[in-house]
Amino acid sequence: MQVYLDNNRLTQVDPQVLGAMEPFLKEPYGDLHALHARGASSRKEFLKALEKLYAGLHAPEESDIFFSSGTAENHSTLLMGIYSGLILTGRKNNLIISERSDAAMMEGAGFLESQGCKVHKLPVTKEGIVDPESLYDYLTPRTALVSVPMVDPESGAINPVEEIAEICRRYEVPFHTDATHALGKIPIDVQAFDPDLLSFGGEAIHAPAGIGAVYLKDSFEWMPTIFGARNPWERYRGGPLNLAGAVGLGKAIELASDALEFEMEDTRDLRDRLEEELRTLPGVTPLVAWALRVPNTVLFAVEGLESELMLYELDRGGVEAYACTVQPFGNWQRRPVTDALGLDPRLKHSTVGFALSRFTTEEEIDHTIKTFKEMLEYLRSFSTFKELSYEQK
Amino acid sequence: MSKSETLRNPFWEDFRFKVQMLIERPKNKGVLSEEEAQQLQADLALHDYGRPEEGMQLRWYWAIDRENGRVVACRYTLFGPPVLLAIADMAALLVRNKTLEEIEKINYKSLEYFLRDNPVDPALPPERRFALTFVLRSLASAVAAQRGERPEASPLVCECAGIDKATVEAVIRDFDLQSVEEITDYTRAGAFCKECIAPGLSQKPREYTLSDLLKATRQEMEEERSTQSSVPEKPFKEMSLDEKRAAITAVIDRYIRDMLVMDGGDMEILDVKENGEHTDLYIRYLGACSGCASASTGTLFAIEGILKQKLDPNLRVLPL
Repeated sequence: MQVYLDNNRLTQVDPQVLGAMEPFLKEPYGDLHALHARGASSRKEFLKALEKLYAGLHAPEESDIFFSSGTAENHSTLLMGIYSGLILTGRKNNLIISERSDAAMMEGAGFLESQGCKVHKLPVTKEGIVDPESLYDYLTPRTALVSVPMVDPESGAINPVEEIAEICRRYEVPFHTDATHALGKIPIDVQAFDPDLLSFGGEAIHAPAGIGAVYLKDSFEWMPTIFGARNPWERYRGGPLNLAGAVGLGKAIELASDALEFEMEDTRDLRDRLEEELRTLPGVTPLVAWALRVPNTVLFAVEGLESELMLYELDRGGVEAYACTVQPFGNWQRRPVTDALGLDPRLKHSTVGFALSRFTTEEEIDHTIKTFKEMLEYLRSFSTFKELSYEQK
Repeated sequence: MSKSETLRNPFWEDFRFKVQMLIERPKNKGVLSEEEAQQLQADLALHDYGRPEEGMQLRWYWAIDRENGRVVACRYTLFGPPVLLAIADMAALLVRNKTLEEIEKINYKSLEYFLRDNPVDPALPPERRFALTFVLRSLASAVAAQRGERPEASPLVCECAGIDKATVEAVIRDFDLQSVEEITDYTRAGAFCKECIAPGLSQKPREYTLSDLLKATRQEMEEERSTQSSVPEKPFKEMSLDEKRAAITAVIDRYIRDMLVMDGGDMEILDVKENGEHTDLYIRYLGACSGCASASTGTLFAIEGILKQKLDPNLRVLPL
């Protein structure tokens, strides 16, 4: 049995999404800018997809949504736009991001820093989330942007973006949030918390990777960095669009928001079963409080076992999981999540996480529990763990 | 980057067969108890190296024979990535039946050679070499601890991986490293928070950074090289008998002796004689090599082959 529990990185494409995309992959289709029947039918499908995005996010009438190629492009374009529009002109010189933003945001911020912009990284508290109060320490009249992801893809912690958005609104600073890992897991209503920008990629909601979108509040001035717009839909990002991907993303959002309630209920039950079973094992601790986490994710710290070795053994048993700290190929953050949560530094290299999706079944979870227990017993038979303390249990 | 570089895959699925086999079926893992050591009439020695917060830890269990001082049984427990498991298992196999002096002679080249599937392909992708140097350091540290030596403390350069200045300098020298990335490949220093790579990357000022150390050590190496009395750069044929002897000794020390020591043997040079256009080298096998069936066939051909390739095709090796 092969169990895929790495759904915070990439999800399988939903068969219904694939069905919606199929005509654009198999049959000839027209460009959005073309003056013929095929162009017209493409435009029709494209506008339908766009409408689904508006509906899925509950975006208001006076707002913009456009398609992009995903999270990395969204963040890079956003930062480069901020740089050329606000920082180069000397209007603003200050940027606030979360210390656990994704790699594109971190690297982009690093570039801005090298160009003389001041970048503040909001620390994550012991709960694993950004404290909205900490914003006051860094906000200045010259802050160009605040960016905090809605959900941390590794620990699954849900950041209080409503409160952060509220503070930003009060100080008239644009607020951006990355909803990639929140879509389809928690309800998102942009009218309720009113961010200036919201962006996401399709890879985490059963759409293909390589397609994403950005929501812009009416007042936000977006500077494109990919040129070549030929029609109004391409004004924020040039180029012939990945039409199949866009249609797929529209369908995926529709499915995710329609079925959010009951599907996430099922996923949560399965995740809880996994969590309850594993947390009773000695030296295995789930990180981030249950109530602060998205329903599909659980991250464990396992005393005495190294992440990569655990992943290797789990993989041999047919369970595909993830870890926060796998070197040299992982995405190592300056401060690993275990440190942020105030755990023993010995657990830094000992995390293993499971991210479920709506396709995860009960049998798969049973298999995961069995494999995890076997893995734990086998690896601890020759781990230096024996001499560590069992005190916690 | 070249095509072969771009197409290279450093992940698990492209690990070599032997390394994969060692990860999946390690034979020497586990604990050695006091009773087991007693049964072997040996003393149990425990040695810890590394810390979990640095990503790797090895604990050696050596049963050391009371009479001849050989490690008669060797086991380990560990905390670390799969590749460390493979290397530690191979190292445990090599340590067995060796004295501390012989364990000391296990070096990067020999350990890596034993992990290879075939003599030409390297056993590990560059990104994974850190585990090999870690195991070697743990062996050296265990030997030192057995002798009651306390190595001089060296200031830490990379706190995340627990790498000190002496280690960084040693890898730069041993492997003739040219870049900081290579230091990271060999030690994992600079792989995590990256603050130790160059000055200015960290909030607080640092005493040592990898790029500074690289520059300083390379400069020292250059100076040493220029002051060293160089061996005459002439063809083997034109050398005097003494020079020939020196050249042969150098080749044996560099390429051959480790191979023999690994199997518990050794060799010595008795004489070098000129015989017409041939040069005859008389040797004597020592330790496990003397009396070994392969000493007059495979091993001999290997020794002769290496010498012929490195020095002169008209060289003959005659074991006595």
